[in-house]
Amino acid sequence: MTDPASLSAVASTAVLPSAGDRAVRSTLFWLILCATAIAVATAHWLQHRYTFVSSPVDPATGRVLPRMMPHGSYGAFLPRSDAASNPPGRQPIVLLGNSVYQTCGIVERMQGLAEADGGQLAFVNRAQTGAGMHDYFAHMVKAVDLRPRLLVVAFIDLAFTPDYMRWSLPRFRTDADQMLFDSDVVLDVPWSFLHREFTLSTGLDSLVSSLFPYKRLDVLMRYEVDLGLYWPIVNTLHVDPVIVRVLFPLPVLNLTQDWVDRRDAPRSAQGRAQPWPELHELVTEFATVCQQNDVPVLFLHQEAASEMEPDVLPALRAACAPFAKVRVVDLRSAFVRTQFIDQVHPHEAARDAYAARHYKAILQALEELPAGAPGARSGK
Amino acid sequence: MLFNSWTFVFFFLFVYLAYLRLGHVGQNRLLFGAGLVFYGTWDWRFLGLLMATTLVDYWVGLGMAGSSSPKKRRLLLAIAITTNLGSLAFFKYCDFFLDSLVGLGRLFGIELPIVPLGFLLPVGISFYTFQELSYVIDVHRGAVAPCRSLRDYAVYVTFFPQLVAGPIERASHLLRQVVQPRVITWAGVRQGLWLIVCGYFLKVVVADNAARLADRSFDAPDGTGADALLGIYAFALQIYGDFAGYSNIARGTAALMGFDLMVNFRQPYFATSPSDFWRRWHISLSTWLRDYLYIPLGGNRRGPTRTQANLIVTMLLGGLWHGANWRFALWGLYHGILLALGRLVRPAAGARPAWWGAVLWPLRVVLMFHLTCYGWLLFRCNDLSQAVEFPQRIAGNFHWTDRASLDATMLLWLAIPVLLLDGASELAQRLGVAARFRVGQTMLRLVAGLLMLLAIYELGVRHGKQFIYFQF
Repeated sequence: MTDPASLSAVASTAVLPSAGDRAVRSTLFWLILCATAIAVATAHWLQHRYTFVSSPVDPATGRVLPRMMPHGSYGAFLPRSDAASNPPGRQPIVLLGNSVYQTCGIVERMQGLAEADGGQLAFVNRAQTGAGMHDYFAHMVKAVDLRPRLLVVAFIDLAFTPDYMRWSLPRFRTDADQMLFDSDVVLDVPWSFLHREFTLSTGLDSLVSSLFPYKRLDVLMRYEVDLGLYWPIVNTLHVDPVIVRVLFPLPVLNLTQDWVDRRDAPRSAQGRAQPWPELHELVTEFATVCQQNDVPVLFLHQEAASEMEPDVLPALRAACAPFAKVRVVDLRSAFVRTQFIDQVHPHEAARDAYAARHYKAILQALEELPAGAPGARSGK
Repeated sequence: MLFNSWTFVFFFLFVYLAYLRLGHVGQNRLLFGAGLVFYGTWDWRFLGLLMATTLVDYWVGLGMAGSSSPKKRRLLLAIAITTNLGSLAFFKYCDFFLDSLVGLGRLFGIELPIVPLGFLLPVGISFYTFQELSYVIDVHRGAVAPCRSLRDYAVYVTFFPQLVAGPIERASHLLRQVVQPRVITWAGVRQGLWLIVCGYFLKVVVADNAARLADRSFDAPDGTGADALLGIYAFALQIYGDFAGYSNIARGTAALMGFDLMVNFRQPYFATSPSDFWRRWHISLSTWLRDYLYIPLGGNRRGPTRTQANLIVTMLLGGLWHGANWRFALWGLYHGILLALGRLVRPAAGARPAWWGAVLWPLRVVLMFHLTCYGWLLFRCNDLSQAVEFPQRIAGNFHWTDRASLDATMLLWLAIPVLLLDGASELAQRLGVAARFRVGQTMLRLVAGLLMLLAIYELGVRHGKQFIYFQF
């Protein structure tokens, strides 16, 4: 126990902070401000430097090469934003999709088919690996600026379910987070969406992602390290990858999650997944923004194995029914297991046919859905 | 607002930048406002409760200072204790006792028409209640003078680094620092940063990764003995990393602002006896229990039997402080019995040569660690049958599977840095070398800090669990 000196008396007799203390505080203040500014600037510079190659292209053939990275890492792939996004004299078709569109060269094949048909359509690829409904939403708001002839949302059922959480895909992926905070996006996102989906925590997390895009850099740079160090060690020394992971964990993506969780993730549990409780509201908001901007929408259920249930189509169709310029097409019946690497990604040999099916569905939707008034952009 | 969230990082950055530009009074106003925001982000509705108990204790403190009548001072103390313990009992233990009553009734075939009230537990209520109680009791004892400034007293209660999970500070230590102008030094900043890095490392790398192993083991009904043993070890690592990590971050953020919070953990798994363990584990709680419960009960002044009883009662109540559940009570009782037994088998000083102690030291550390681990089994088990079933599995069905081997490897990699950090501190303290190698220590800390940052980046669990002790 201390002596019973009056604490107030202590205050009055205490030595006031010296000039030295003030100097430390002032130095610290400016140091923190400068460090923050440098960190933000450096991160954006690195992002600018690294992020244009979201999918490598084979220089010989010009084809996009797949980069198969495990899910569960933030922003594993950036959405490809084609340079010629709105070529003059062509009708832009904006494609929102997942890893299949982003990494399997499907969009490039569809563009080839369009060229063969006379070159009236220009496909703009905004696909993002592992995209969920909330990512589609952010990408859609960004895409309506291009005034596309048609907005295609290629999806699998899981994208509309919280089951993605089990696959360690956070509900708001980095890219969608950051895009939501772009000034042109945040003005178009319905207030009900932000109010319902964002908490203080997710909002601040997104704000940090916008200011300091470490999540995007993280994955890209890890991937470079992975390619540069990890596989050479495994391949040249012929060491079991599990042991290398233990001894040299740096280049491995989400080591502990891979190790502890995913190995045991019960596949059968997918059958118990349910659509987002707010699916109806999400789709309604999505379609409303498109309607306000006079952009027709095609929800295209990709070819996928039956275990990728639950079937969200009934709920999706019900939500889309009130909208005249929204179509829902189901291509699941075209799934043939031998033609696919896994439950959704087609083998190289099957990709031409895959692209042709999607191209045909898009053409059919274009016939059914009347175009909006050219250049019309309303409902801001 | 979790420490391991960007919300807190942003919050602290803004608060700290403003703090650095303000004078003493402005800093205290800022800290009070920051404390309210910090607590309000958990649940703003409980701010009223926090403020109410703060006002009552402040008023009681002033009242006791203005009165020379022992009777009036006792009455004021009773008001404060009733208010603080009453709110704690109401929010934390009410449903527990009602449930227990219903359970007891069923034992005798009586169905009591009692429905649990279902109140939410205000986060950190056990911590700030004990901190406030220590103030009014110390004022009553004349150990500290009452605080005349409501703002300063409110900062003492709502100081955000330690508001929701301690360390449980005393007025003689923290309030004094609130009242005085703080001095920020480069040494303090370095120490603060070191503690913060250590804290985040312990939480997001060690505790959150160990939690996955522990949860899987405790939730697997068909695991082997090896799985059970690894689960208990993993939980021992998890709870230490979680709570010591929180305490380190709290102390580190406070140190950046020129505050010195008390040390809450001192290499607890290097303890050699039950009493040694409680001198190292959750020190702010164990000293609180000693000063405000064990000693008033009579301590060791009333003979060996009464001492043992006092130890057991104190630890039983300390266990219940952790949570309204019989397994916490059992955990407390277990530690009380260990402490009582520890006193019985304590060798007389000088009975054996010094080298004998050195030889026995590792054995005593290992034995105490495993006794502690059994306590953690009581603490963590999903139901009390697991406390019996796990040891049976370990004794009767112990074999290594591939998964257990992988888990053991991972656990080892998580434990090694903790052993190195704590082992180095233990060794430095035992040999007294810390002060002599200050430059070397700084360089070592720099290297270790960078490695820990790398580990946080590479291995840290994003969107990790909330701190275990927040539920208390």
